[in-house]
Amino acid sequence: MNCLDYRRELGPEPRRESAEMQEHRRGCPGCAAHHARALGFELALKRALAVPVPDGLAERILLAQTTSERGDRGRRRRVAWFAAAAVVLVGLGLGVHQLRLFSPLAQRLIVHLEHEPAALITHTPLPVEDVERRFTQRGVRLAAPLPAGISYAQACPVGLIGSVHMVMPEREGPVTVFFLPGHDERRSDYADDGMHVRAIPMAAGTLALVAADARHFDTLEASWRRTLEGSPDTAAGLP
Amino acid sequence: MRVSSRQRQFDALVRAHNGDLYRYAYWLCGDSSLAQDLAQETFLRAWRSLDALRETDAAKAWLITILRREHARLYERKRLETTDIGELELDDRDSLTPEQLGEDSIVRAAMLQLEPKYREPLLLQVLGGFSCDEIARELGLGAAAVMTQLFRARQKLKSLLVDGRGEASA
Repeated sequence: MNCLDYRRELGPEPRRESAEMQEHRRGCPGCAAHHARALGFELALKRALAVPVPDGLAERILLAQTTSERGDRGRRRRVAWFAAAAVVLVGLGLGVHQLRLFSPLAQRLIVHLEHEPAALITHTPLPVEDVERRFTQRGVRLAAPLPAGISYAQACPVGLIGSVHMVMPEREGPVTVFFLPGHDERRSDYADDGMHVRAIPMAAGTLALVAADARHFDTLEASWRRTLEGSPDTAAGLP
Repeated sequence: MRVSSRQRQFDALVRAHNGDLYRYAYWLCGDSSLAQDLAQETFLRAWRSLDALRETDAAKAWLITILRREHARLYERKRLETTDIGELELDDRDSLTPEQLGEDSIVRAAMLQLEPKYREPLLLQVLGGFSCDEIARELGLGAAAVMTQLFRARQKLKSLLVDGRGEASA
């Protein structure tokens, strides 16, 4: 290393010297003096840059932070309360308006139909095993073969009540059949906005028929009673 | 009142680095009250993203990065005036001779005249204690470019000091 190399390397970082630089400096009085001057300059520079820090700066920063944090916490708490209230309101809205949890069964069934319009599209009968599987899912044992022509079958809840939801295409339009095992409902006929609903206590549950045209209800009721209860002699609640 | 570990970490961070941050801010903007605001804003931002700080050794560099961003934002809003030598504050350092205090004033005035592209790497090196590689990372430059800037920064500063001393003795 020569003097030019030494000074070029010292220039950008006067406080750092490689072993090679140190070796050169020790043997070169000119570069040793240059090094001493450079360090003197660094010392003066560092001292000049160390402007006094205003008194209490750290405390003021911490005060600003804690004050801001308390404000943020208050805002977060308010937002959390609003969010919780909104969730409760939305939940109640969904429960009451969408699921109609507290409305009569007939109304809930009509609403349920609106939520599954695809159920009414197909007219092709499902394999019997598919329909039987839905009853099995609901823990229902069939007493006799299923009525023919069921084109849709799902084990879906109506509000909070478990059901087997089926569709039976008829010439005058589809009839939707719900079987709600374990649900106790009085026999009733209901009509609203062009839809007819019949609820029938059956096989330790309730059978419900929903259609725009109610002319097949009696026939369907009889055939489902055979399927669910077996002999027609045991039928109860017939009109 | 129970103090969270996050709050304790932040307290320690403020107490350890507020001086360095303030000084760095001061030499970036040349104004004491603005430098205090910058330091405070830097720490408030640091508090909000404190979880991003994983290593204690990286704290200073992390804070300086935040500070530089804050300063850049400030510059976007308004162009700052360079402080006159008469406005510079001097600390009460009884141990220093009048000559040394006078010398400091001249160096400070020269620093404020230095172009930011030379002043900033010099601040990072002298105040921050960063190596050329670390400065290069912080400024997004190559190490060779940083070394050139540091070399030129000192040359320019020495040249300004010769002029300053000439004027002071005149």
